Amino acid sequence: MNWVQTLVDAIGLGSVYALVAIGLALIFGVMRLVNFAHGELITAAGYTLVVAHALPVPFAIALSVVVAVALAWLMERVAFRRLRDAQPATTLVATFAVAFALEAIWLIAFGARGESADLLSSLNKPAIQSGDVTIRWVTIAMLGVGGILLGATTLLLNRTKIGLQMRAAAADFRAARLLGVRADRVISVAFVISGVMAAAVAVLLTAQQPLVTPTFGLEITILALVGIVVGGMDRLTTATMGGFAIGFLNSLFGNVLPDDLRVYLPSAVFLVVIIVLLVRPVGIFAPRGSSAAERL
Amino acid sequence: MPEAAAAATPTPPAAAPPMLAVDRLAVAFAGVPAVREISFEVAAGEMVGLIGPNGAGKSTTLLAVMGAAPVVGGEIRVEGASLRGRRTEDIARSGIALVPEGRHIFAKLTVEENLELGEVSRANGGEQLEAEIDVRELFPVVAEFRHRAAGALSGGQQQQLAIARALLARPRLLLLDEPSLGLAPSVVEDVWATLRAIRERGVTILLVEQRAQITVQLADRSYVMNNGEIRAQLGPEEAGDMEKITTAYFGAGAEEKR
Repeated sequence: MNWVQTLVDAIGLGSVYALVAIGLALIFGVMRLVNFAHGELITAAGYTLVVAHALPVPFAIALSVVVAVALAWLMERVAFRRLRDAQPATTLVATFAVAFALEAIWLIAFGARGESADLLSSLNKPAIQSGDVTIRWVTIAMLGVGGILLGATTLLLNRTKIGLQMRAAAADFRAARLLGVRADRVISVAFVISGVMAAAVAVLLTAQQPLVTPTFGLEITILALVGIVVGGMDRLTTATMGGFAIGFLNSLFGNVLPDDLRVYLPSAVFLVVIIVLLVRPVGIFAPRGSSAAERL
Repeated sequence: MPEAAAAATPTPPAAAPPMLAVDRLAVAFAGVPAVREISFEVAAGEMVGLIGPNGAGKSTTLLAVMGAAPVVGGEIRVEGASLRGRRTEDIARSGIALVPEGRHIFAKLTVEENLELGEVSRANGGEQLEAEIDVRELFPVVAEFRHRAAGALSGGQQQQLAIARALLARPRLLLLDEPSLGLAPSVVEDVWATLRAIRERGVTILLVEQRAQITVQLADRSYVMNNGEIRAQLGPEEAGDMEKITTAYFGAGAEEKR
């Protein structure tokens, strides 16, 4: 086994999980909603790539972004908007409902066995080969896209008017509305961004492994969700780091564990999660002195 | 004959509607009444006080004006236009600003960012205030620490920031909820001085306070609220009459109990 190779692959997958985490953490930050249906945005973008595989690659990617963004916007408009003042448990159940409804649709439309979105498999070719370490194009793409989108989100939040309003709404929604910040607009923008993130994740995942199944986005979303809880959910940076860490660990264990133990991969990841939450319940990346109560 | 009919019931010259007219306003939280059919008016350029003990319904009244409390009856009109059923952010954007109780500044954002958020309403057709207020001249502290995190300011400075932020929307009507709460006496003096300065610049003010005497003295008129109702109305000439204020505050019978 080659450690450098293992680390490089883990960093690549960590970046993809970080993108899932940004999408989840933005929605949670602005409206305190844990969006379990986020994975369906990824799946929707994945199936768009399946359907659009005959188109030139840039068009197919653009189309997947459009579909994921439209679905994200629609989800908020149709399902979550009217529940904005409801109990957190109600909205959480609503996100489950949306997720399962969409999953049923994928199952009916595309079947359980999965379809191939074979657009970007050429990215699996080596870009850099040095000794027995191979860095594939897809790993570079994961790092590059992850970095660019993270940077773009940071710029949007810190340098634009709508970004400032989103940060204000995340800190104190009512005070923000009292100043004239439009709740609908801020929340819609957060959902649109999460749609963009979901499409990027779908493109990167299918480049690595083209099979899209009805649970394509669900697994990565649940793992990323665990990651952002472990990292610290109330801050975008800690949540993103948590997402990265869980993706990193997942890839690392996947490579380190012997083949016959690989079925225990989720158990190994969750064992680490349990230990972390016992030792540091506010999240490992939360600043010293922050309390667990502050998080929610 | 229409003309004769008109002469028989002479209409007074159409007076401009008051800046704020609250008419039999009732607010209830889950069936429990917090404000019980109160009515009062604030004319343009006036400063009106709303005093009373904790839980009297003062803050709820202000939140109801902002569309942030469950109104169950009555009307709230600003310059004749009803606010009922309108969203908080739309009310803010129509030129009504609230400095909320507890200030609600954004502690992790910088002072400058907090002020920028104050301009959100102005950028969208606010600009109701005729007299330009130079917020940085009125609040030198705010200008001095503009790049600091707002949470690092002292309580008095945070209050100044909260008021400055509300004024940046250039509101036609400014609602203040206990601006003196939790501040040192010397700092409270600064708050009153600020309110006087704002009022001199023509902003209509509705001030909710627990400090009864100073409010009665500052305001053109003060209403005493208790248990969701308006119990009395006091003018500035009554500011020296502590006994009268106390009676209005605690209701008849308070004298005997003491």
